[in-house]
Amino acid sequence: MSKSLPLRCQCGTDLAPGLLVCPICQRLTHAEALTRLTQEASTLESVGDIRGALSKLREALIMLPADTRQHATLHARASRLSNTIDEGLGGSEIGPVPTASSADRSGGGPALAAPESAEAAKDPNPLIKGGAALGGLALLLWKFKFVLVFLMTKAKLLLLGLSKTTTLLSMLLSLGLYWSLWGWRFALGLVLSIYVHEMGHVAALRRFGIPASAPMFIPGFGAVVRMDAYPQTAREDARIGLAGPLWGLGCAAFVAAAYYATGIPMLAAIASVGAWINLFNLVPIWQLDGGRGFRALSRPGRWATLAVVALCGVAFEEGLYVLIGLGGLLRAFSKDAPTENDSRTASEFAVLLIALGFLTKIVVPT
Amino acid sequence: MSQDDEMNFERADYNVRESDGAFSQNPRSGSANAACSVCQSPVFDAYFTRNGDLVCTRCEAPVRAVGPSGSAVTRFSGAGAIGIVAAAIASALWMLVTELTGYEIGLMAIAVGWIIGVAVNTGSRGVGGLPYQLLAVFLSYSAIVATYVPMLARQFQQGPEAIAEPIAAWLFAIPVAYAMPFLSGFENIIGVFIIGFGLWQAWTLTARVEAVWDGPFRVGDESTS
Repeated sequence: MSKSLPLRCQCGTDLAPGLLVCPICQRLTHAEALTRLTQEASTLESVGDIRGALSKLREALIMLPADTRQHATLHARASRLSNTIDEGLGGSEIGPVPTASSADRSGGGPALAAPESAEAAKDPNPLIKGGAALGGLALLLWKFKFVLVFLMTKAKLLLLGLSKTTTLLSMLLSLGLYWSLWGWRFALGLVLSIYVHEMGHVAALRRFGIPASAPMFIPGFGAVVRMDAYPQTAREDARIGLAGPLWGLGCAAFVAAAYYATGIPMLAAIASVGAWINLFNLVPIWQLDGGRGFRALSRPGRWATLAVVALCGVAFEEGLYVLIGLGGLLRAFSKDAPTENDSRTASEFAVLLIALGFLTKIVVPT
Repeated sequence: MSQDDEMNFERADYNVRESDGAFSQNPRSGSANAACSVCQSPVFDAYFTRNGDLVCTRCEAPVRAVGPSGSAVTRFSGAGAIGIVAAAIASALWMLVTELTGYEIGLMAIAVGWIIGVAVNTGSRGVGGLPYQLLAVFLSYSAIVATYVPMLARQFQQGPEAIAEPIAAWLFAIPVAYAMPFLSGFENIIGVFIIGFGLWQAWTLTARVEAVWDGPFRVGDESTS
């Protein structure tokens, strides 16, 4: 973009770097690019490439001052396209898949203590045990064919993430650290859980045409995906935010099912910790996934979600719900609540709170 | 071609959409040359930018000459006082979260670093710089390790070699708490990482931020149409 910047406006005024508008004659600095991008967006939209059109409009929006009529018009158009994509999604995002990140239980919480005890429960004949486990897993996959369908449709995306050098190297670094602390099996499960959670975000970002970095692992914290553009609407932000925990829930559920099918204690530990990490991400503050989800909830919607949090806290006796509740309480009184509630976000939030609560309660055999 | 494609991107149209969906005229529209962000007078001959804001040639020199308010001692004392209060609050918050949830959540270290970094920066009146960074890092580390003191003091009062005097036990616990993150060696490597992120947060928030000046830029002859 900077290459096309004119150094001097048509009115003869020298333009300071980064100016979107000539301060003297109000000419838009990127007028040509804006015209081209909106035309390309229209062309893409006319052939049904809504995501591509939205992506072009996002590019155009960053070239416009936010208080201009042009920005308001393009923003409205982009929001309409975003809603079209969102409605086209249906419930397909809620599939079985892997886990989340950006949190860690330092200080030896029960779930991190579990892998050590699981490691200790080693089978005297690992080959036989491994064969039985694979057989059990195959049976499980056959019984739950939708899991296979999901994996086949999302496998490309999951593998794509691994092709990025930053992702792979940072993942290996995290793996090495966790391996040295808790053994390779738990470390691998944890890292893959985190990876799938992040790829949930990536999938949602791609769906909405938002450019983003590949997941980068941060040892001890999880991983992050950096967005290169802001979500267009609160609903879009919520979809992207909750996609991680939803994929994480799927992953944890899959691992839990594998545990019940095979009886391998390590799988129980991975499922439980994975679920805990995803639950932690639902704390509705800061940049955490729950914070993004809460953006689309109206004030009554936030109170209703808090009621679910309270019920889960009582039912599962999990301390994290206290933290989620406190964060939610702050957000329930904040002024950023939209007047219109997004019922899908509310439903997804409730499902996550309940399902992840169940999964954190998996008893890890010692 | 949609209506949007026919939109005029020639000049910025500062009309803003109101809540009823209608467009209203913004005072900036149709105005003459842009105004200086300091004196609000129109810019005619040339202009500078300071952190992206327009500054006219008349205001440039005085604005550059203005330094931070108060003496260095006053600012540092203020930063220290506010920082200590913030550290106490952050530490209490961490202990509260640990008590309520039953978990020592590592991400809280970032919250501690953020709270103290913002407080010290406020106390320094936005000046920042190495002394404030060191202060913020020290206070953040202190706030984090302070959470270990009650537990350590309780332990020192138990067992056959217990310290009889409670006050002595608490005093002895303080230096041990400062060393505690490193006493477990590699076992606590993740804990050290997490504390490091918290300290980094405090460090970056209190860094000196120099105003970015650019210019002068010549103003053209053509007037606004």
